[in-house]
Amino acid sequence: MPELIKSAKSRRNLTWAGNAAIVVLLILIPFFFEPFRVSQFAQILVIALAVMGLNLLTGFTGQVSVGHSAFFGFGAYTVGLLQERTALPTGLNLLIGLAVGGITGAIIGLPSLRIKGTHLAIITLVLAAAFPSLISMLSEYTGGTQGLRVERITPDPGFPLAADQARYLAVLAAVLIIAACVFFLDRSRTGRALRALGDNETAAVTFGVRSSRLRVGVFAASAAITALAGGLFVVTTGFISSGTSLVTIVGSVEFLTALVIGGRAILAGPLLGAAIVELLPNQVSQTSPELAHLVYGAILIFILLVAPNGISGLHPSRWFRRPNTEKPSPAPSA
Amino acid sequence: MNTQSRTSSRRIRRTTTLVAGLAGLALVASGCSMRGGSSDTTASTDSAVGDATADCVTYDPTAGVTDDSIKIGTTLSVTGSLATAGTIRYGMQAYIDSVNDEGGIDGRKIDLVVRDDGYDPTKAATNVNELVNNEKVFALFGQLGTANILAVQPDLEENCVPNLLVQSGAPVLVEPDNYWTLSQYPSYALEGEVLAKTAIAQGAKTVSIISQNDDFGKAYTGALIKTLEDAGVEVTKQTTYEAGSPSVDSQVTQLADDGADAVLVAALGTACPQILNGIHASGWEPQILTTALCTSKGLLSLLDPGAGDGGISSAFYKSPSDPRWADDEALATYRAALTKYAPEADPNEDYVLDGWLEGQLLVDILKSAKTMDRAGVMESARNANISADTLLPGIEFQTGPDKYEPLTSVQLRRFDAATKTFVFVDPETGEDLPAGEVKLATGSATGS
Repeated sequence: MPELIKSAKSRRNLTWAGNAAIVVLLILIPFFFEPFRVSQFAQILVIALAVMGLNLLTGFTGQVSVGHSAFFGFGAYTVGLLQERTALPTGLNLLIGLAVGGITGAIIGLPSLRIKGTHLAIITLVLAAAFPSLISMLSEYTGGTQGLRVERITPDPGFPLAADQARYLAVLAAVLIIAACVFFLDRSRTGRALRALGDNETAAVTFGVRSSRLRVGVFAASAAITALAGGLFVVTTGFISSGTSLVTIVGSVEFLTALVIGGRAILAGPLLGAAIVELLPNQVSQTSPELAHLVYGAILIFILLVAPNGISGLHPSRWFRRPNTEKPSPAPSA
Repeated sequence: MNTQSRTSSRRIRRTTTLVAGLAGLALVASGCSMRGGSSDTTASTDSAVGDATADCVTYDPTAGVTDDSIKIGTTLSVTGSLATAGTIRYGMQAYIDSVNDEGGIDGRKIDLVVRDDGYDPTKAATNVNELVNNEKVFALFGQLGTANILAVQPDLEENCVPNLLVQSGAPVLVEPDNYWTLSQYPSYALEGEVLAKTAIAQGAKTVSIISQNDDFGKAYTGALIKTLEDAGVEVTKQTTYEAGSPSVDSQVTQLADDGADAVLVAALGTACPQILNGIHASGWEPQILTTALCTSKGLLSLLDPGAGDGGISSAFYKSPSDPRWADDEALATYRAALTKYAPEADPNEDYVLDGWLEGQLLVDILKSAKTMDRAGVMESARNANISADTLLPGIEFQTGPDKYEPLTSVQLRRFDAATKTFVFVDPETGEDLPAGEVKLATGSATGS
């Protein structure tokens, strides 16, 4: 027994050290890269935040949503319109965007009380498909396909940071706060209840888990986080239109892909997944735009064959060890 | 059990401190600048340049220019729903290659970097960021799609990077405050106006409209309705359809019920043949007026026999599939260069020729620049007077201090469904012009 505990403890220490290293690297990035890379990393963080929202729903309760592009869009347009039409500060606008996303998520989450699995995925699919049309219909306010130009986060003259650094760090702050919240939720009573719900609902309800409240709640929280990502997207890029792929069904697919590729780790998973879906297609497309989708698909399949639990689920230290049958509980080396 | 829970609580405490501390740090680092006003920190460092660069946040006058090369970037649809329009890149490349083979521009060869955005504004913005800040291109050129152009405009205007000859006729792009963006298309409003004038000239008393429900559709309908109302012609029925919707049948049925003398089809892509086929099938025979973008070779091939007959649209360059230009010298040069430099392209596709024309205009603008820096080239683009041999006779590409819209005249043409060819028509009478003749239509209220 003590052996096992020791091994689990040192593994946790390893994860802890890994996360700390990631956080430090993330904070250092804007000070060591050129503006172009920094804005690219900011975009990756935005996608990662959206994926963290989706991870809360899918990772905890096992429900699949194909409608998160719409929540991203609700957040983006709420914040965009507030930025353009009111004099409220950007920080407050982002919080309102988050709230609007949460409320929309709660409403859309209601069917999830009765409808589950594939059927729920199809309902959310309708949401994703309808959202761009909704934006076109309201083009008087939203700008429709021609889009909405939004004032970006811009430091005052004399502020020590450049615009790209400030934008990056604003997104990073949101990512870290949300990651911390999810981290504590994961270890809380509610987190365990959610997990139980995902594993076996009947058993969970028997043990007193309030299924309906939790289901709607987690849907709302998930949507709120993704909406916040949408809000951050417009205040960092300065433009949103109904043709922006992240608010169409393509965005939902991108989030899901990043989730599956990245794996379930709270911080590293969405970050790795987002980095791959953001960078890889662009890189491939520069060599051959026509073959880009094919090559991208092939690489994704390869990644999933090598890492079925996503990249963050890989344990490189295990590759160099003899099979478990010979040595049941080896202590992982540093 | 005890050990485990103690470990885990200690772990949580440690993580809390770390995450909270770092998040706080990041907030402090960025928080106090969350709502900065317009910043004009480091204006132009070059004192010799004039007003144009006064508002630049950063200005790098000669990025991408060396003694023997000029790097130019473009982002357009190589893939996606508008991949046909993206074939302009073949024409651009072919013209640039042929100029390079003849020595380039004062010894500098043009290096064209093409990126695919699949008609997605976000990807276009990423591409432009990469082209300007990583590839260090001197200027952007031939970007496609209104939303994509608008998505990159704030950055380009801030950093004073020329975005030359963009592929859109949206009126918003020819407004004076967009100094660093130069449009290539005649504005959609101009097209709407000259189409309305044709309807009036042909004696239409009632006109109905079907348009795509976005700014593209609105630009046409706005100009059309204004011109019609000024002449006392009634707009009886207006319908719209959503871009990408699979069917337009119900809208066409409504219009056919109304039965106006003429109909404006302000559509894009496959909606064009759907609408024209629907009108033909309904038995209603109005005077059809369509956008120039409805008349590409590919879309016309989707028409039912007899559909779209007599439809009036406009053109500003020599269509390579038009038999009228079979022996044209300019098109012969174009075809020969395509065979040599871009054999994969279809020389009969209008968009490919448009790309060639883009190349001609770009090279002319670069050659006429007094100084080979961004302000110099933009000044040349803003004071251009170019008569390219692939433009229709009489049409010139002109800009000036009060002329932001470079093309202000177009040739109207009538589609003959039986032969699938176009006949040029007189804009004042609506009658066919004798073979070989051109008579241009000009708008009154230009965007400038």
